[in-house]
Amino acid sequence: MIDPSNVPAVGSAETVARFFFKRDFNQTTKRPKQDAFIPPPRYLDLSVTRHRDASIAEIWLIGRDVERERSVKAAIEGRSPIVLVGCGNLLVSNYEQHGLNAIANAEPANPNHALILGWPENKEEQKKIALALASICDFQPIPATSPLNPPTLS
Amino acid sequence: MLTLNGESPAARYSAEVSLSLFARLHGQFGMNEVVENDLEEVFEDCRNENWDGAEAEAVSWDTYNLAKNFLLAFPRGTPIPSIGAEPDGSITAEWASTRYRTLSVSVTPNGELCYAALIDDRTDSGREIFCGFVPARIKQLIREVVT
Repeated sequence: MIDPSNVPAVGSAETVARFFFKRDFNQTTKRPKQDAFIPPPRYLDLSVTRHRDASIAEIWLIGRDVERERSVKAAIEGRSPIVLVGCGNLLVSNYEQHGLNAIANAEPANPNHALILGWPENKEEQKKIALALASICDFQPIPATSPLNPPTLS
Repeated sequence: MLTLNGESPAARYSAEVSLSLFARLHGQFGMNEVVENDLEEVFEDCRNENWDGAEAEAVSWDTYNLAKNFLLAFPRGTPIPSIGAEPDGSITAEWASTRYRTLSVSVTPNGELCYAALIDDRTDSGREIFCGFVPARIKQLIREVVT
């Protein structure tokens, strides 16, 4: 993982991952939906995780942490469990082609955390960009159970 | 065992199952099921703020009802969409045949239908007011993405 005391700027050639959960997934196409790339309206910033200096196992552990954190909240509120189904990898330049940009946003639990900024406020434009990103991302399903990826409790 | 009209119960059951599967595949009964199952589940899971753990807006009762009326306004035979939600509290319906042929319609909290489509190398988008019937443009885009 990236050294938290020395977080470099995000480069255009870097690969970043966006985690997908069950509702983000279209069972017909077996692909992530555009919903997963729509930014939250308050800050228009999309969370991603940088692959830089991270092993694949570490990327999945971050995904599992996010899944666990959200599932706890969901359970408290009586909602269905949040299920991680995979991640979509894209180059930062893929985002930049749509006028977006990436900045480092290291968090205590994830020094590789970054944000995709520069989203248009117009919803149709957001959806067009999200559709394009969902169509080209390299979708990786969560790998089968392994010592680094223990099964979740159901 | 034969029945009076010459069909065995097993044959009749088999025919009913085949008809049901055919109907489901061709959307004959699909939209009601989408509303009763998928839409209901999305609403239950997203009716409170922060449903995504990332400060999403709640999906309101009004948005849920509008989405329900929108889905039930489709004619029989319409392919069934995948239902989801967006962080601004919109409910989405997505029709797709491949990753490059996709239509996403958002039923927004302010009562609009906001859509975007990717059809091979072409994109389309727009905004419509839902007045109880499905806008012709959206029907046309569904035909384009699923055929």
